[in-house]
Amino acid sequence: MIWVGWRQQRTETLIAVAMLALLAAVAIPVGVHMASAYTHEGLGACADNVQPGPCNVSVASFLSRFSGMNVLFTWSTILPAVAALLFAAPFVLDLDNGTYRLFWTQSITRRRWVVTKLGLSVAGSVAVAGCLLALAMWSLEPLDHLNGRMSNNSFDAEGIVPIAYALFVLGVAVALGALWRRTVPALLVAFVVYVVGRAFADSWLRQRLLTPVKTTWPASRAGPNLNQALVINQFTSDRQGHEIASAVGPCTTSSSGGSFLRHTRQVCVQPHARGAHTYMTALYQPASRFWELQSVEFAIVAGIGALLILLAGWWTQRRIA
Amino acid sequence: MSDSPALETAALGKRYASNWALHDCELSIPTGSVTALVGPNGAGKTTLLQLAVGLIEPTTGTIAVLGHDPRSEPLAVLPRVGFVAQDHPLPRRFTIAETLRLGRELNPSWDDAVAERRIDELGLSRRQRVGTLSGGQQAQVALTLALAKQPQLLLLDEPVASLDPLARREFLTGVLQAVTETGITVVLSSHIVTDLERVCDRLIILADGRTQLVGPIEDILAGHRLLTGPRTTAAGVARVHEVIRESHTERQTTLLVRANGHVYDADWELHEVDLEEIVLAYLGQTSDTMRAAVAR
Repeated sequence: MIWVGWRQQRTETLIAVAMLALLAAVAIPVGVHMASAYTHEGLGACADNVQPGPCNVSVASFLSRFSGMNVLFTWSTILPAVAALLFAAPFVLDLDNGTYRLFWTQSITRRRWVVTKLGLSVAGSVAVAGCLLALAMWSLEPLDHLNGRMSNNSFDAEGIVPIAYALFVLGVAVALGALWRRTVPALLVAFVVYVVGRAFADSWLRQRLLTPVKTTWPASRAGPNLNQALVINQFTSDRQGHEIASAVGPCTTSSSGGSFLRHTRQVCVQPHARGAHTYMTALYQPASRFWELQSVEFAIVAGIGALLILLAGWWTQRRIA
Repeated sequence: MSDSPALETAALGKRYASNWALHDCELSIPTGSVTALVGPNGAGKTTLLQLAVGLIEPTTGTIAVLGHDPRSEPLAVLPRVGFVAQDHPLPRRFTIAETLRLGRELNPSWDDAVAERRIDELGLSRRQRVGTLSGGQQAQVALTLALAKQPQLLLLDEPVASLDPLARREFLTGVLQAVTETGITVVLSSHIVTDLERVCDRLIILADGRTQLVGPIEDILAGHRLLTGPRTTAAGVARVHEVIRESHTERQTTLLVRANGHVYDADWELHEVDLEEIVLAYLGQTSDTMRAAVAR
């Protein structure tokens, strides 16, 4: 059955590999170039330096030259989702065009068919997501040193979350496919669910996964370095951190807004000190929580995906025909 | 051959929502027979065959295939049953060679020689993709998959419905060849009666989810007669024989009866009937022959 399953998703695998190769063909040369520029321009020492000076100039110049890489990998997070949809297709197609009746009447149990087909879909989806995030983490390393990995465009492309989203799309696609048994609509709806889910996670869910850190400091002095943090809110406040109305509006960074394609360096405009008693308060997820946040989001998103895949398997085995 | 019938049902029923696709079905199909399962679309033929191969679960009653329940003991049934579903589904992107490998991978009792020989006889290239084959060729490839499993029972669901008359004949010839070579038991469903007599020796007529007539075709042909005579009611004949269908003109009455013993009645002119007429009569339709007899 493994050979049959593999044969049925061979075309899909080739398409996924071609997409990865195309991305690698762009990302690897640029990545090599970017890494050497990073070393030559001595930016390693600038990563934590927020004071104005030559460092800031070279960092700004470096970021403007290579911001395209961030855009590339932000868009490329769609690739594992598309690959997962491709790998869901052979399973749904068999149910859609009736070939399941051929397979279920050979000398194998229905369970073996379901497990093999879904297992291969999962393997393919995870492999593509894994390759992509390895490529992303290698290519984006210099940018991550400067920007951190907490902004949505890095967070969605690195760590383990890309695998979770691949499983999520796959789960939605096979579950819809099993219930609906129509390939094209099931895959299209799954893609829409994925886009909505990603936007929801990027703009609302992620910042609420862990209780944020709250820091208050006198506005006349420099606050904590939030360059690499996921800033949820920043406002003028009193000493206890209560927001003062009519102060400068909250800082809008990538933590708000619905688009997961945004890539901003999180620099919040510090209001001019309006007196000795004005304070600033920031709510944020510090950069050190990257893996913790990744794990929580992975558990939720991959958990939903796994449940949907199991539902698809159970439904197919028990309910169809 | 084993003692248990190839297929046996008891009070078998299948309900979809509020609609009984098959109801209270009692059947026993002996091993070595070739049975035609005939009825209009929606009569329950597909339901019966899918129950036999475990694709669906009975709502009521039981079904035993080669002595086993296909649903709870799939591995006791599936390797011994060849099944060609309606529209003979095959993975369209597979080549013929890959389709044969599929059969080999999924069936422990697979016989490569049988498969290769049939593909040669069909004159098909191993590299051809299934999706590029004609409907008749696809049906033949599906039959090849089912036969190379070396099954004891072959179930064919409307195998010829979508085929043109030539492909239909060729397909049935393939079935007939397998029957003569291996003595395999066959159940094939069809809503087309033509050509079935050539292949089948038993008949089951299904309509509205119920069996209407079951038996050897020979007996069925011998047991039915067409009676024509001056206009009268069927009551007299019905006292002795079972009147399946009656039609009247102003001066003449025509009856299709299931004879109870020998039919001899000076009032009636006796005609033999062919299978198609009998089937149509049971399905509540009037055949051309009967109309012609009335018109005479």
